[in-house]
Amino acid sequence: MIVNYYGICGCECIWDQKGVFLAAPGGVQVQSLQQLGFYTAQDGRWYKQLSPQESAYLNSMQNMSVVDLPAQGTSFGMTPNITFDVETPEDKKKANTMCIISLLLMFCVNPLIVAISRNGYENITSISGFSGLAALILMIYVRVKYPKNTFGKVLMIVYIALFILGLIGIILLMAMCASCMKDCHGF
Amino acid sequence: MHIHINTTHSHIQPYGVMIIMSFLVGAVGMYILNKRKGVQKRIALYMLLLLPVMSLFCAVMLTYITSGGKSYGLSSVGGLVGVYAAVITMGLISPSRNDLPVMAETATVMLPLMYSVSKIGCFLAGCCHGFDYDGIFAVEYSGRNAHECPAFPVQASETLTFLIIFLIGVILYTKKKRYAVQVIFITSASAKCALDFLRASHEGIILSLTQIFCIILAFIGIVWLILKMKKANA
Repeated sequence: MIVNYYGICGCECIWDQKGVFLAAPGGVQVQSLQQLGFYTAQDGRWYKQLSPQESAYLNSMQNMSVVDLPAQGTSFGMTPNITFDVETPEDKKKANTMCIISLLLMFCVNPLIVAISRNGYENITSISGFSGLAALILMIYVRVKYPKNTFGKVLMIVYIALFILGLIGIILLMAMCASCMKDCHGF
Repeated sequence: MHIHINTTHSHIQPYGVMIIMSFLVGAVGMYILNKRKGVQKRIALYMLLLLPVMSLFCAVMLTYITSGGKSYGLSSVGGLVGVYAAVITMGLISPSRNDLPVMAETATVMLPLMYSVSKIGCFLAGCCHGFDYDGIFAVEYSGRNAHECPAFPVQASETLTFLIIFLIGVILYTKKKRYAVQVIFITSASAKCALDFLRASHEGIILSLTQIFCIILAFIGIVWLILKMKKANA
């Protein structure tokens, strides 16, 4: 039987005297496996022993070749040991560090480069764009890898607000320039 | 029959509006296609955020680099590079390995439409105009970007050509034709390269920088097609 366990597709189901185990397929990110409670065995593969409720559910689905766990839309009274959505202190630390770096890149490094470039070093203006872009990518990385992190969420809202304000600013600037040029037409 | 366009616009600049529209159309189109192709909703949403920023950044940077750091402007090839850079970035961040090739495919399908919309802006603004031409559909520009002679409507031709490529591409892609994406990629690069000959800026040169980029892209597309064919045969 193949089990799709919390988004990890293609887990092999192993019935053992000690219980029901899942063996994760190759190529899955270690972090995701660790978050779901998988552990490495001597053979190098990642295993997880299922809870009695999860095992009972799989036993009832033995005639199926592929089973989703948890089943979509139903809980079957199961209280699976979901560690996937819970943010560990280590994750929180990593995510917060990345958020701080992102914040520094966006609001410290960026204006600093612009300020330096105005003082005779015009060639480095383009680097300010790189730092802004790196800040945005870092924020997206945090949101994808650590979706429960609050700092990441706040940062995302701030960047989206900045993005929208920037867009409105560009439109207003365009309108203002057009208006000025129209007014100065006869001069 | 000549087309007359006044390039002095009161408040709203059509060039800027069309550039914003092209990013909007491209990003939303990619989001819909990505979702349909099974990319996670959150990944597709972050792509929506990253794509315009990265594309715009690369479009400006390419002009900056190729001008030797002297001027800023929007380069279509730079925009294209930015779109694929955004795809690769999101593909690497995404926990699913299948997202990168899917997003690369949807980007290839949407790019002709983005280019088509952006060229309406050029057509109305009078930039990137065609060679001197006095035949049917010749464009006479007046106002701020006035030209002495009527010009060939190369921007309108580009809009029409890439709109057709997009429509055919979408039909092929939705019908799940095996080599649809590679065909769109090669056709787009070839069309862009061919249409560049009709620009006024091309006079006196054998190959423009854009054409060299397009030839490289077409070559990449052919390699991509061959690899996919080999994979299918295997």
